[in-house]
Amino acid sequence: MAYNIAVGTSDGVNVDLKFGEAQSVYIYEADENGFRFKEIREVADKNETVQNNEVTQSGCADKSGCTPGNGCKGGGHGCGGPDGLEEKIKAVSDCRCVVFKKVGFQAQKQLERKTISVFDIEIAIEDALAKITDYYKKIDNHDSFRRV
Amino acid sequence: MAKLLDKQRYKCALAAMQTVQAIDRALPVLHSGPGCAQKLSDTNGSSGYFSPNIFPCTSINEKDVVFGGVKKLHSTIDNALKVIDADLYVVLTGCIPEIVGDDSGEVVSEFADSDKPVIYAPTAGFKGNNYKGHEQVIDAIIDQYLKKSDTKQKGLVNIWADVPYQDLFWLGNIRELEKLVSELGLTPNTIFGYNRGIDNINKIPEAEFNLLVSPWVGLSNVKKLERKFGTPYLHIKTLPIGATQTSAFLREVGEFAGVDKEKVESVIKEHEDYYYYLIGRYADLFLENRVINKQFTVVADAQYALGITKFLVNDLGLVPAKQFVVDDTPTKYRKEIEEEFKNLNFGIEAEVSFETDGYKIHEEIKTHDYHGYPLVLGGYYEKEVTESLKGNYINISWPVQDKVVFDSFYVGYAGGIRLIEDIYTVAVQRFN
Repeated sequence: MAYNIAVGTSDGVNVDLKFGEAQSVYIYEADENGFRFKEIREVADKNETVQNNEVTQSGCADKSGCTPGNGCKGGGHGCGGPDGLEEKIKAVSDCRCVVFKKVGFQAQKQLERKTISVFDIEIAIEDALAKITDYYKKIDNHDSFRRV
Repeated sequence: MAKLLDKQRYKCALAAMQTVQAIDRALPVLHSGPGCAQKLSDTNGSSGYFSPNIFPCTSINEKDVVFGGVKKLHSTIDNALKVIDADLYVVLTGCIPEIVGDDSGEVVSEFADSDKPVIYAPTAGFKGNNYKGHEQVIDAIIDQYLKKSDTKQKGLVNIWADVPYQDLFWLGNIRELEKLVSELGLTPNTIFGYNRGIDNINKIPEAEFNLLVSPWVGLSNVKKLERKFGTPYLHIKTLPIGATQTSAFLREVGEFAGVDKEKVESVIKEHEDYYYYLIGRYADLFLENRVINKQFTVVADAQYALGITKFLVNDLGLVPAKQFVVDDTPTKYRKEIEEEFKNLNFGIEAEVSFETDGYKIHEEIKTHDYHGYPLVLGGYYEKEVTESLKGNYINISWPVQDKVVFDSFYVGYAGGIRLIEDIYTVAVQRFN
């Protein structure tokens, strides 16, 4: 069955974006026979200031600690994670997995809750998708993972 | 057909981290999923300087299945070397990295020049149980760490016996074996437990011979030592428990090592005199035929099943019902071990079954006619079935749940007396 993969890339060649910093993601469609580029999808509202790259950026570095805007419960984003995270995860919720250079802890947990696998790796998109689709193909067909 | 995993008697090969842990200041570094060490936190004396909860682990996940986990392994070893003060680092691989084909050996070889030795043992669960894993760790030490020695130390004997932690009495047993061997005027060398470790490992190639006290576990190791260092080995299949076996053990070791016969006999006499003095004091208890059971069954690994069967027949004069060996003994060793069960005093032969299915074992125990209440020495699983038969039960093999064992032992003359104490303590409770 066909499924989608979200990839964080700035140039369409390498996985080079962090989940938090990505304004848009490349969506690939994959099935048993391979994968193909499907679309570029906007995942963040450009009018909103996105401050969710890493906790260090939106939280501690901002010398304000737990004041509204970044800390626990402050600014209305307790368990949902930093600003915009929920929206972004919703935007990729039709994907089987996401491939980014880095995915923050908060985002990983949120994605896992939606049973979306996280692959944080810096590698060419072609290589990443070849390995991932091969892996899913084996899982779906109950084949051995043993590399020959 | 898939087999049910019923009443598990051993752990996967990765549990060989217990073997590593038993070596003082040796550290297992795991290349496995998170949680693979957790199964060993069973409060059987497994905490200490290093404990399963803190073993460095790559904690590999889905990403490493897809992209390989060698980078993570490299950084885990690298950082373990930096932050954990150990003498020997043993990388153990679990199922996942071996299935997906991580070349862990290659990663480990990159640490050949580090200050501390780093070796690697493939211990994927699908390769076998922790008895095999134990052999893999010893093999790794022989192959990757030990170097040929120019000198042999006269009288130095490497002793190999139980699988640490799998046998709860491993520490006491190995110390008692050391003591017996040293009484013959030989110098024992063992690598497990307190105050042994890397220095003792270094001495392995200098030994005059290897003494293996085990039906099959470790045989491939001593053969390897013979090939690599030309060290001959003496293989004694029966763990000596009680006077008959221990005296036979001392004579065999003495003869192999060329110890003066008179010396051997004087050691034996001293021990036997005291042993039979104790037995004599309790002769009335032994002769009171209502106290002890007529027939017994041992459910244990080959080591204990054989050792205890011989002890109960040869020393206590009990009659064996069927014995069960539950360590998944490799087929090639089974015939010889079966023969050993037939080699008992008074022309008695014991029937033995190599069986890992707890259900089948229990069915056989239930249907056998023990001519009264059975005596069952086994794992904790046998407690309930023995109680249902109103029998006497003693927990001697893994899993051990109703006993705390620090360094007590069943080996030797003193160990035999301990086992008699344990058995009769249970037996007399029936009447008191």
